[in-house]
Amino acid sequence: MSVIEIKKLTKYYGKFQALNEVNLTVKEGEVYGFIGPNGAGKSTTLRILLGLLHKDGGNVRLMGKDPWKDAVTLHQRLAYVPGEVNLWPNLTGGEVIDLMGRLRGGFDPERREELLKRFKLDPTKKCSAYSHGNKQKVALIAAMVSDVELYIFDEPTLGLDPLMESVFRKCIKELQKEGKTVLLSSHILSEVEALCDRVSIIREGQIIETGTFEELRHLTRTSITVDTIQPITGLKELSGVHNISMEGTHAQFSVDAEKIDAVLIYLTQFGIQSLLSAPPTLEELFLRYYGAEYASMSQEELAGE
Amino acid sequence: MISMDDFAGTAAMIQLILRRDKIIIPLLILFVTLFVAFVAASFINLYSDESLRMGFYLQMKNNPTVVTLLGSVLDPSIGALTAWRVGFPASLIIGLISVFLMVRHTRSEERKGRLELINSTKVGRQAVLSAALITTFGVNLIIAVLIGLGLISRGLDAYSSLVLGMSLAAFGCLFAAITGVAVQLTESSGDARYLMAGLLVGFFIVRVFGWDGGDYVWVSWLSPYGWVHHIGPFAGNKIWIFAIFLAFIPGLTALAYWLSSMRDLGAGIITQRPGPARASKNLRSSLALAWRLHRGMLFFWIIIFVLMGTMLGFTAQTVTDMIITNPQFVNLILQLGGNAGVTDSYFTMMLAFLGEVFAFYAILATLKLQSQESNKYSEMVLTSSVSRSQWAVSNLVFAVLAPALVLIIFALSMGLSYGLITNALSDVTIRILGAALMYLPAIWLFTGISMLLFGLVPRLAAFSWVALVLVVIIDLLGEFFDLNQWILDISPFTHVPRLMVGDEISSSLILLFVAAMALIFVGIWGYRRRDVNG
Repeated sequence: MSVIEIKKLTKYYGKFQALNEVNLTVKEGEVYGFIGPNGAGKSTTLRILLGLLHKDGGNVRLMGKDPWKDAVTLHQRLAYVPGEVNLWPNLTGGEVIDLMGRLRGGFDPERREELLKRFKLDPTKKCSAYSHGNKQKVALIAAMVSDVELYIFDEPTLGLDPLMESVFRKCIKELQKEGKTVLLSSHILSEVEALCDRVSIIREGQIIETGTFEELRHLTRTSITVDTIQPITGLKELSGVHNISMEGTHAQFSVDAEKIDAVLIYLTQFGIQSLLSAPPTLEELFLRYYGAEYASMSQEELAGE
Repeated sequence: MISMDDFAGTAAMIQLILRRDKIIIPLLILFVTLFVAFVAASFINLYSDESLRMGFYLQMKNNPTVVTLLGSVLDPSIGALTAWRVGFPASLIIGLISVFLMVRHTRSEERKGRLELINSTKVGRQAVLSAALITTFGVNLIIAVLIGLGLISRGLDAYSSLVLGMSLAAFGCLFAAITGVAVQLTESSGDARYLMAGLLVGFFIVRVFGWDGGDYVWVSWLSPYGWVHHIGPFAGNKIWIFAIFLAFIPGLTALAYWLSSMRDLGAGIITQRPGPARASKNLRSSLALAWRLHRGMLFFWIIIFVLMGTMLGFTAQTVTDMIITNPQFVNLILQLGGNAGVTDSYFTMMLAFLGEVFAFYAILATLKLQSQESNKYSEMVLTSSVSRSQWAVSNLVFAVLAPALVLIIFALSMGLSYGLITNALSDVTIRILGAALMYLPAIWLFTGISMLLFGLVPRLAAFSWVALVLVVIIDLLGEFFDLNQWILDISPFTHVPRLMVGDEISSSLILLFVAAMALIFVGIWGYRRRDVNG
């Protein structure tokens, strides 16, 4: 069963088209990554899912219901952490956690204590006194304290230190084991890569790729580091080879997935001493889509130095 | 301790303030200047005739109610009348402006973490405080000079005109300096604002206690409002009183610097206590949350209006005594308030004077919804099992009932303190309460206007204030000019029956109530349908 089903979702802010026929399906028990740069439309999609925004076109079903009309009933079955956490300055963190948990229909006090310990949060501080990361922790605990079917996180680890980030990851893994559905929007790729079963990449309001990591890897290049007996020649002329950097008998480059075979055969004639091949990371996957925009920028930056 | 390095970068900080506030500062300056110029112009237009002016002067001088609120008129000249009429309201406005600018550029900056960014550059520790003080003092001085020039251009005495401007500026600078201290004490900018608003009102209450016709005139010397009055521009120009200001302003400024050098960045001298780790059992609904958000403001207003009511009720007796022992006054009051009793006219005037203040509260409470949304607090609530109507209604409960509660408490304190002083707990308390309740539809109209704007066009929600300012201007104009009835009718307060002086409940009052409720409902309807901004 699909927990989230978005079809051809369109949203305008005035004349600006924020979402252009977005499709997204999240199945029950799935941890789903929703990635894209800032301003691509991640938060807009989530806010429509939560009934905070109107849609201008398309079809959205959340657990089989209309997120706008059935907002209140749906919200009892989900927990949400907004991208930019702002909490009432005169309430303490503990009070916010209790309030949010109760508004969602109650929670287990033991779970609350456990989460407070794991995230090392002092619940007696006023929210105005918390740092950005601590506010984030309050919101995360307030969401995860509830036993609901669906968890929606918008850039959840922004402002968390690496230690807390790993605590968060563990929590997500546990939710996954319990069979909960998680939708995670992020632009931190390693996080999505570590946690998510499937991802969608959004750019300028359009979904440009969807699938598991395995499915997406074929789209990109494997990076190869090789030491040879004789210096390699003619690498530049080979098709499908990119980003070459050579130092004597040491070479580093990336290869399109479908050309690996041909390139490796070519390399053997120079006598391979050691070879290291790394699968593409999400970073590279990502840069492939946004590369064009950033390439010129990094060139300028280089020129400036 | 403080060294010269701590002040490095002050000039750059001033530039930053001026750039950030390049629209708001000129607007504020213009507002005060025009207010004073407008009052002077109305006196010139209406009372150029000497005998007419003399009549007005005597009337105002001999009306203890007016004297309680505005101080006694010192001289029948145009200048003195202007100085007398603007003394209290202009002081209050210029005080508010100073508090606003100081908090905005010191504690708020610190709260938002921008100060950290600034302090890590080549800007000294005291540069931000210095820049805020210099800018605020500067704004006050500009206002003083412009007020002076405005009056001189109307042909008033140059020296006295400048004294009037400077007396107001001195008041503003004093409050800037006090705010400089206050922002060192509290950790949150909101607390600093409350503290200062409390002081502005507190000093007013002290001033009313030491009113010019009473037995405790010396008390008025304990309030800066009193100092401004006693300077008496166009009527004596006692400029030695500026020495009091000049003693306090540098003293408080030095105190602010000293406290600022003592504390850590982001901390207040009064440290924030840790709160409860668990929420109380009652904090489990949107209404309970709304109560948490509104209660501080409500308690603040209740305290202020209990004090105000008690004070005004207390003064009522002295006023009445004075009037009763003097047949000339009785005639005067009868002219003013029909054939109603002297005390009744007094209470009627007090209610009329403060009616708009409750509308101010109604807008403030309604716009909590707006600030909750723009600060993204509502998002947390609305994505839990709270519907938009529930959230709106939870807040509206306080925007509708809280102003009513404050009004009732004010009326009761006024009636009871009067009753206790005169040793006759007569039905006057009930009658004051009845008269006060007549203001509710007019007050709720502003709840309605704010809610309507918030529900339909949240961007323009702040226009509720414009509506209130327009109404205040109409009511003020009505005081001076024979305005067309239809202009007066725009103000909802025109339709409030003065029950204590013989008015009866009219259909327009009921219409006002219906309109207020309709606006509120349309606002809720709009809020349910629109996008939640974030």
